[in-house]
Amino acid sequence: MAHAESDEHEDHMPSKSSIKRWLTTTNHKDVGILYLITSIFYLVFGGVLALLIRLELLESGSTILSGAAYNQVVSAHGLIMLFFFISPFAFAFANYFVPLQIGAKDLAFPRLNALSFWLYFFGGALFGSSFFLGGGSFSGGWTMYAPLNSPAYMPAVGSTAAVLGVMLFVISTTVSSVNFLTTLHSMRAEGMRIRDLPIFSWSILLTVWMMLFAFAALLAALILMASDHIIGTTYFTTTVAGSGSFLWLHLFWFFGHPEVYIVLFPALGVLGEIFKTFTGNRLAGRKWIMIALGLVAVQSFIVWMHHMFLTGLNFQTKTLFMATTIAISLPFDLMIFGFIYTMIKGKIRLTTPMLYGIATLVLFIIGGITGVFLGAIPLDYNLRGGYWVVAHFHYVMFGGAAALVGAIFYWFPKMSGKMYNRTFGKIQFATFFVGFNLLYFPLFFAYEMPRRVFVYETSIKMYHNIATVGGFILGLSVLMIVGIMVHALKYGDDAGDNPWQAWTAEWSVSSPPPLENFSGTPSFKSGKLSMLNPATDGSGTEAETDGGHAVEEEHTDHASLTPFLISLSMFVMFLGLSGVHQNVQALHDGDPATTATIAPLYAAVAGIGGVGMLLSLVWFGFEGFSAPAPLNVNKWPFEGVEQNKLGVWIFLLSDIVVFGAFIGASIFMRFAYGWQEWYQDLIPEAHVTMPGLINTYLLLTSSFAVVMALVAIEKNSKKGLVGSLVATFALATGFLVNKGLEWQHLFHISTDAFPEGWGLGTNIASSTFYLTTGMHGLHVILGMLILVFLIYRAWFDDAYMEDDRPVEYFGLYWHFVDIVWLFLFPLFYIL
Amino acid sequence: MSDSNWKLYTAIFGVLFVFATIQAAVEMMGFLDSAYWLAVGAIAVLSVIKAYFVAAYYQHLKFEPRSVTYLVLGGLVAVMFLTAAASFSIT
Amino acid sequence: MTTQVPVPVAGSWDGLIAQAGVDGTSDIFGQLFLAFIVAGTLVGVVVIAYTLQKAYKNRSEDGETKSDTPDMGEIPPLEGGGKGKKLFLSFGASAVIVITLVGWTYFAGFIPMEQGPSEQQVEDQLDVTVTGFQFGWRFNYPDGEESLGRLTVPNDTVVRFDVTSDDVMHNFGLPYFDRRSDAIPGQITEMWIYPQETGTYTAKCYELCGSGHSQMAAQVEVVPKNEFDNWGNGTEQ
Ligand SMILES: [Cu+2]
Ligand SMILES: [Cu+2]
Repeated sequence: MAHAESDEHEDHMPSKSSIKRWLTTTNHKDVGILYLITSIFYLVFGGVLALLIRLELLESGSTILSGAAYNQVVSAHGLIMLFFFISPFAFAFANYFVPLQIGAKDLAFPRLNALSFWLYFFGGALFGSSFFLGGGSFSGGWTMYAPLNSPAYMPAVGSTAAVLGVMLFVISTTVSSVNFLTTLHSMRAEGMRIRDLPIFSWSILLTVWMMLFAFAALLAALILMASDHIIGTTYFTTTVAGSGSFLWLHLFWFFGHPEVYIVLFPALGVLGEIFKTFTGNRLAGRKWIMIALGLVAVQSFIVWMHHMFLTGLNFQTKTLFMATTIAISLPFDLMIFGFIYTMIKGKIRLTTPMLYGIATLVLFIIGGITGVFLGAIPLDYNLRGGYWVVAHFHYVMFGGAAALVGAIFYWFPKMSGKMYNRTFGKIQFATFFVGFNLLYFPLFFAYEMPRRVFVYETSIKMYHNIATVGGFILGLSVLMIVGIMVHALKYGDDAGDNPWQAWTAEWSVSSPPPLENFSGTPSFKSGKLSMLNPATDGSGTEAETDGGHAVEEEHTDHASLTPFLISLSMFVMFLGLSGVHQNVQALHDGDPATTATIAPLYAAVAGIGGVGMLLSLVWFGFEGFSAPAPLNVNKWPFEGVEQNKLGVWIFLLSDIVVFGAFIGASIFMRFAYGWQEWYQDLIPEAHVTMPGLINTYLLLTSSFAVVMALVAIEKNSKKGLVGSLVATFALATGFLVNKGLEWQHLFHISTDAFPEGWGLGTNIASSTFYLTTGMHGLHVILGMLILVFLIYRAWFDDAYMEDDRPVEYFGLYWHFVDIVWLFLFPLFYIL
Repeated sequence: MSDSNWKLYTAIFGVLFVFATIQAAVEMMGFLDSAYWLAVGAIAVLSVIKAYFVAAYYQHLKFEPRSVTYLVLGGLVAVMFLTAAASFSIT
Repeated sequence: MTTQVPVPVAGSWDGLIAQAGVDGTSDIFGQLFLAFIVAGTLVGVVVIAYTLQKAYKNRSEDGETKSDTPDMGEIPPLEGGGKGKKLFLSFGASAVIVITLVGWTYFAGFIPMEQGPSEQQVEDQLDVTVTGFQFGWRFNYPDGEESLGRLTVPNDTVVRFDVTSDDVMHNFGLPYFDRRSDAIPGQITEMWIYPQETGTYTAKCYELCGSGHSQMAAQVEVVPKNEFDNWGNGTEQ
């Protein structure tokens, strides 16, 4: 939590042609380009898998893939496209253009931005390597339903690695959400209120808000699943009242429905920009479009059970969620009409991006209408799990991604300074559109066929064959994008600053924009963009028309290797963890003899990764780094909240959702089992209140000690500060020791009911207890690491006496950990 | 953290300490056996009050713009709705 | 665990359903699906045609943009390009269509589907427990009879299934009868069909369940009532 990014180093960025530049850059535009290239790689990866599926479906029955391989391919295709392609693809543009649109120099936390990218990069690498680890990759579909997702049915090291790869990506999105939210709420230039955001930035704002909540729920779900795999808890194999399956369904779809909009919203934002620019009009009903987007973002969290109409939910629940589902379709109608009416009285230039914009509307209308079918329960009863769903969501999500492809054609001239061949662009568009509809439209007619199978009746063979042809045409169009861009980089004409005569702020600077974006301090106060105290050193709007491949001359200390190193070591650690499970299972089965023989290699790898992560975090903490200064001009609704503090609170909010999901999972599982029977049947006598009470005392006191540290700073007492922090550390140590003793005892009890002890996998009550309090314990440990850093800095560097913010923000975190315990204590020790 | 009143913080610390003890006492004195749901309610209320004190004073939410509080409450409402709706759906 | 819930409009639901023109025994899915296809196609064609027509009609012939585009970096007025009235008219129309359509399916489809034909409507009813496993289906009849991979049911009888699973999640789907239902370990999901014609059909699995998922089918035989062996044991509800 040390955002001490304020030292003023003067340093040159390495040249764009050097590898070092790309490993160490934290500039939002560089990071955007990294996202773009990496996500296109995954588009090709996921696309090749899709073509494998299409080839397999040329004939009914297993032809080129076995059942197991086919499942891996469909699962990986879905996971890659959703997680490693669409969102990062959208965030390539968000990274590049949000700061430019709002008049900021960079994101609020540039190093964290680089960290987001590298976590994504290595998450993808771990996912990709899962195919080559023992047993192949995850094969339970991108929805990862339980209990198929549990080690009993999916024991392969590769499947765990794939899950951990996705988890790295989810951590990356959490970091991104915190960063973008802080940026959008506190870095807008003077005069730009939140309602003045250009539609793309507005869509990103809502996207990251949804991401913060939705991905926190997914993170919790993935942690539970990974813990079933790695430490042997039994969440998803618990079958009492179907609770394991239902737990996954709820957590997953609570994430899953917002996820649809998380991938869709950036596309709608791009659509808005493209429609504005190429009609020459402002958005029709701009206010209503923005409100409709906002409504959908909120509503997206109360519709998730429409994915569960076939699971036997009770009548009232189905009715309720059918109603919320209809309700969420309505703002979309409004939005779509707003986009369509923007064309009225326009002068529409049918450029490649505009063609993509119109196509997106068409595809989205088809996707939306076919989605209403699924919201009507009696129809859902015969459509869910089949090709209607497949066709529908490809129209919605990939149809949305069409706007993002349009975004390449729209923004490429700005990002590269080069204009592509416009005829090539239109040919590419035609190929894409024809391929797309040939691929997905016939699938509606195959609605009686289950998805994820390769056996079908001859009557629908024709549809599959057309789709396969369409698939290859679509694949060709993707290659054409790459070809057109490479061609343009080499032979393209200079694009100029504003080739489309657009009027959002990114078009006011040179193409590509200078390192620090604007040649002065942007302000919108006059009702349009103007520069306060413009710089005169020539890095402004008229410079750099020659393409900018030369060494950049701007100077700030913007480079850091630590995001790369942290991510790399997490990759190594997770890689190790994915294979370590037999190891731990043997341990808690009380049979340490096998421990040494099973997975020492994986354990060692995990250990190396862990040490590496620790070291790189330390480096991260001590490294000098200059982040853009907070603007503090308009921060609605967070006026008066300092920027780093805002970041901490937003992070804590996501942590609230993660912990809320853990606690909710415990309550749900207990409720399904029988609230009181749970205590009688599953929990040993030896599990008493006292250790929990002692730990409550210790933690409360430690919280008090942090408060005293701040009091000491106010009294200008360095000794008091260090003493209080050391006391906090000591109390936390006591907490962990006490917990360790308690766990040791519970592991090794031997009673009639629990002859083998009460271990992690003994039953669902022990699983929830160890996992939930264990995750809390991890938070304590993380806090202690930060404490060591703070104590060191306070003692040796006389830090914090002038500026107590790091201590205060650590306190926010520590008190949060305390509050969580205040609820864990009664839940797990009293009730 | 403007002119902090360490006496207030100490008093709050005392309250937290006592409430935790009461919660444990409810269990040890067997109230959970005699009037289970009443005791559960009491324990839950005590936890909420404790959390309020820590958040409002130690995390000084009380002195921040209200929007930060709404932020936190937003997260809480989301997970509570998830838990409640999920539990209800399987009844 | 679920369904068999008292329908809130009890007493009047027969009336409502009659009003909607569908009764619990007819081809509910087919009728609703057709209505949706017709309405959906109509709306889709109109909206898409309108979009394309506007794009074509307003196209720029000289490749130039309008002469009065907003200023660079402008803070747009909240209302943007106006057209609010038109917006809300079309929005209202689309909302009416969607709500009517889905509301109609609720009363005409959902409620009768939840309960199935009552014994007054169709006297003969049979309960079968369906259990999915990796990779096949097991059927248990009220008289203790059990069969693997082959479901035999009498014609002109309401067959009610209790669907569950031995291992992972499956989904018991009967495409000919337009009905699917999740099979979840540890819980029972209910569904029913009302066969009107003898013949041989297939049951398929509609939820990914492992390497044999593609082949996880069962045969469904609808036989004349008098040929149905177990007849007489399964009528009590
Ligand atoms: Cu959904
Ligand atoms: Cu299956």
